[in-house]
Amino acid sequence: MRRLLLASLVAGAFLGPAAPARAQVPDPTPPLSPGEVLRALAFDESGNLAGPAARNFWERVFRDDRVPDDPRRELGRVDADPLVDAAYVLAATCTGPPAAGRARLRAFAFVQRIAPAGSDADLPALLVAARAVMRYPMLLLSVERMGTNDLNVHAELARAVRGFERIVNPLRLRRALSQFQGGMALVERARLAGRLTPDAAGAALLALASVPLSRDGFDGALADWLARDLLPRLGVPVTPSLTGVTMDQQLLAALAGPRAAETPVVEWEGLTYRFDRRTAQFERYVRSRTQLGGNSLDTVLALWEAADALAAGSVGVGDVPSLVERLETSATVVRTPLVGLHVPGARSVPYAEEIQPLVDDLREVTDRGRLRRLPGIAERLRYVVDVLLADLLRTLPYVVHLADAYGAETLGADVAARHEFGVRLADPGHRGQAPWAAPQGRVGPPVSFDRIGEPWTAAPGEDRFSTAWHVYGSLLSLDLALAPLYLPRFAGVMPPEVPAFQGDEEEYFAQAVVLFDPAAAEGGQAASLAGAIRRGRARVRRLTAGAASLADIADAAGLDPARRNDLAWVLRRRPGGVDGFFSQSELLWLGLRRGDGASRPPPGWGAPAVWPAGCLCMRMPLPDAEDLFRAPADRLASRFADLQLALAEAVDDMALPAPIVRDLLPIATREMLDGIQFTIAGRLDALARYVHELPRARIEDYVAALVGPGRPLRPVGPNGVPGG
Amino acid sequence: MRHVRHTLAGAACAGLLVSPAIGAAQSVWFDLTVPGSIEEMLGAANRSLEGPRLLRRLIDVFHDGTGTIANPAQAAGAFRDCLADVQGLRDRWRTVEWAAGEVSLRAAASADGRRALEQFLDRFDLRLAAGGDDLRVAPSGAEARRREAEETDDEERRAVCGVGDGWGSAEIERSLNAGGTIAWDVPSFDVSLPLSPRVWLQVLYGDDPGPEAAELAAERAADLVGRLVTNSRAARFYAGLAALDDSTLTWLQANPRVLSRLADEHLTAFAQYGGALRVRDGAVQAPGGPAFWEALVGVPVTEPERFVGRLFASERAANAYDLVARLPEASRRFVTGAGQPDARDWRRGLALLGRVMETLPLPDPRFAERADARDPDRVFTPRPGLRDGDRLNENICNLPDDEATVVMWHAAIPGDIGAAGVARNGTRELWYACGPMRCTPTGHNNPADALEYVHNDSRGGMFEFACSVDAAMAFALDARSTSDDGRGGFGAGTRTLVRPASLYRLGYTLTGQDQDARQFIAR
Repeated sequence: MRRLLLASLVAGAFLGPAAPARAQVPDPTPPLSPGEVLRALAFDESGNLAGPAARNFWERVFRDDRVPDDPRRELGRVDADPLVDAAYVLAATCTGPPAAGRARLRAFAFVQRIAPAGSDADLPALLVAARAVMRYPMLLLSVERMGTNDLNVHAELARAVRGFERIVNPLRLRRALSQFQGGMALVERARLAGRLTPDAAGAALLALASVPLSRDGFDGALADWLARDLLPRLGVPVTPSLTGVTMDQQLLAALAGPRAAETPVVEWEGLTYRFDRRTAQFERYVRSRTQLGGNSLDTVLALWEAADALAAGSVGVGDVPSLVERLETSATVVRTPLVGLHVPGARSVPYAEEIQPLVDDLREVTDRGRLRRLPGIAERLRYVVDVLLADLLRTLPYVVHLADAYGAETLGADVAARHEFGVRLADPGHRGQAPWAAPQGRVGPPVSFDRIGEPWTAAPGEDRFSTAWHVYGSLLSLDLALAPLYLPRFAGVMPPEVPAFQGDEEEYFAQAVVLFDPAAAEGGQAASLAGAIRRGRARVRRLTAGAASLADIADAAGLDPARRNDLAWVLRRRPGGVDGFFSQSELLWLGLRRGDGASRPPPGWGAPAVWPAGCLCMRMPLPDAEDLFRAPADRLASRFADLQLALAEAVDDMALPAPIVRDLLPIATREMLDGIQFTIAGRLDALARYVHELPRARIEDYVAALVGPGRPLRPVGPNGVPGG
Repeated sequence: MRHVRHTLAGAACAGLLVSPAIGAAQSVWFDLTVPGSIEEMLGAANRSLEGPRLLRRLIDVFHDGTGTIANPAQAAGAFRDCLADVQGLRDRWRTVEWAAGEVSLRAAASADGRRALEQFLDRFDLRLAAGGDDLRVAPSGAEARRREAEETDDEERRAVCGVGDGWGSAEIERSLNAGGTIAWDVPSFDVSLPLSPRVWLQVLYGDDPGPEAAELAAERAADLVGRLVTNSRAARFYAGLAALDDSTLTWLQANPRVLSRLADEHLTAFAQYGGALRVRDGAVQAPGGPAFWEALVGVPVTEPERFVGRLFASERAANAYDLVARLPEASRRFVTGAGQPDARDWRRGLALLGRVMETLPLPDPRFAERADARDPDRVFTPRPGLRDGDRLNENICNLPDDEATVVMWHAAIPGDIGAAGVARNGTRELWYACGPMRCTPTGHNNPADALEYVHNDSRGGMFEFACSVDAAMAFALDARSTSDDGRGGFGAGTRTLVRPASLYRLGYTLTGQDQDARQFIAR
């Protein structure tokens, strides 16, 4: 009886450290610790802060959080001395309000990344970047994720985004944000899929930043950018048609990535497959597009084309009947967006009712004298285009990001309409910043949609969204918010009695899945990682055989003092257990650090560097002596690369293409989170042990699960053609 | 009975810690073998924990104020009692063996043996009884009553925790009556103590164990470990020492006055931040070089006794020392100003850093007491901030309108589930389409695959029904075709599984009795 009692006390009663509180606005954030700050920043060999380090500079960065009109003037003269020291950095980040401290750390770390050896001439631009990344984090972090580190792009985007703070009407702000962020999100996806180079992405963003924004929003002007800049860059021919979906499909194809000259052939369990992520991705995009519905790109741009022609003055009296016919047709084709058309002080109207007065007015243009009415009609039509374009550009990021998702949250057709930017926040400062915060999935908006500023189109009394799951924050890098939905459950895994991680903590590990960039993963990288791990194992075997020194091994693996004592004990009392003592990451560093030198792990692999440095990237965590026993889940996730390393080694052993790691990670991560039991050894230990004991046969099961429609392993028939 | 002191101060004052140093050649770690099974006591997931790590982690969780374990004091007490049970059992077993050479009914041939055997049997609520010409083992009153009433199952009849299978009263009775011998084959685990066993015996029992310290410690290993993890001060002392390297431990053994000061005056700081201390060749190996720390502490590192005393006299200085020691080299140099060309610059920084450190919270409130206790009767432990049913509310807006479904969801989901019962045609179609789909094209009875199949079936509008890929809903779908009442409705069996499974998805913790639900989620 007592055994049961004890087991329940010791095993059953673990609750795990409290996860960080989830998004309320403003987000209650825990204060930073000095250790977190000092580990998030980069230093040169001498121990100086990398990047701009003049104290003058940082004092001026932190003097205000607004993006300056004239950064050179705002900056003034910057003295090279004194440099910032640890005291200054810690005072700036660890004291005062935690949210401000985190924003400052984000600025330090971001500026270090974009200008590791920043010159004095760059300081005004870096001042803008630092301020912008504090105030509009996702704006510049997503640009960084695209690999675009052009300071001019940062400055122009920051300047453009400042314009949103002048829009007072919540619905107009929501519409403008939907268009701007939706457009940026398309650039981001195209860049991450390899369809755009960093330079091309930068050029598209510069063009986007130059689209005029008034207090009323873009007034249809963003459609010009879409049709005349982005779509041509993506190789999508602009051939609008009210009833067509061709452009829509071509855009999705472009966002799935460039067509590879040849896709890798994989022999697996006696069958031949092609590894074709692009096709699989496209299939999923198409499915997701059908689910989310709404108007096609073709339809919206067909209306834009009509408005453009009317505004350009190129329409003659003889052209009017065909325009009337097109608009009349549109009334039967265009779907009313879920957030309704704006009619101040009146009820929201369906599209057909909104367009009919335009048709009537246009029909009256029967002689040249009435042609002067056309600009007015064009303006009203551009407003309609503006509304429809906002709906479309808010939906498309969801189309591409929901394509990989599983789970009930993804199934509503209106999930994109539920996106909440925070435009109804009362405080103007918060309202300006909330749309640029990291996106987060949550339930129950603070403001129901029927109060956004418009009457709601749903039936009277119906308040469907008052507790709906939706994403709050930015549309950029939307996959961060949806990441937990990317982990499919694999049949046959018994969930633990006491899971080591709770549902809301799993998102940190899920983000490690979405931040892994398959387009950048190369076979040589997986081979390099696998080689280092194998060398690490060989060193461990030498230690067991008495041919290597414990101190050298402990130094190379970065064991903390207590863990060194553990290793000494295991070596003394359980020499057979030394193999299982080291985590995959420790084995990696054992293999990389030999003698006096150390080779670097390939970039793009490791653990998410999101917390707290703010980089939407992966970094191999350096071994150090940080005690992570009580660390929260985000900290653990930022130090945990073992699963990815185990998959890299397996992929190398099985001669599979390295990008397949991205497809294996969701399955493996879900199963890991379901499969680990809390132990008193701590959660990081449980994770490492799980990976250590993960059988190769199970990884082979994961590979087998990648066969099928919408999945990257495509059966090849006897003549090399797709088939089964 | 030895008197147990609860503070180290008393032990130190008693003079043993300042007794002559133990020779440096002697090992600074002392291994103990403790009878009992970690797997039995702490659960299977912890079976591989041994050595210094086991004690360190036990101390971590039993004295942890950060919520890792809901009722640490109760758990620590139970652990100690369990170890004491094992040790008590072993003592009685040994007494029989010493008196009679073996633990069997033959031991009762002598008076001493019989007395010892009776005491041993008493541990299991058994007694010796006359059975014809021979003695037999029979249940005592309490055990007999339990068996008669069949109040307990076999599991609960086991009287001693932490010993594994084969030690239940019924097994002991059966084995002895069959003429068998009870062998001491209880599993054991190893732990490790820094410094000499003499120190620990004195710390924990308050007496000078004399030259037999090692033997005594080995003999009383279970008791020693039980006391160590439950005595807050001893636990803290261990936590501080366990992270030190051999060189520093050796220096501490040779400098008992420092050890006493750490134990008596600076125990909190030493327990939390002591792991970074390194003393080698008569000097403190300060992280990032001596200059910064000598300036901060005000004592040269070549005077380790004074340096250590001053460092740990300030929790914040010790905190900073520990922080810097654990940082990568470049960060460490940044903090200590090694990159600053002018010493005046880093001294200025040091002064400011001191002020910064003063404003920072101590990061880790270890060893704090937790007042709240977990309610053992609750099946689910809701996490703070989780709103019951919130996540599912949105998904259940369009339920099929058959009564059985509505009743099932009302029963399965806690709280308000919104306006249920308003169905759309597509929803109902999906419901009926998924129900009989027991085998999908991929060969798995996998709800996600089932859903994907339905989706590919291009039935527009089905996704309005937004629950399908949840394991809970999949089960409901599956159960639809094999319902409890055989008529296509949802019976009590369905509800009892869907409810915990739904809650699990919401972030609740399942406990043991939801085995069926766990199996279901696994599908």
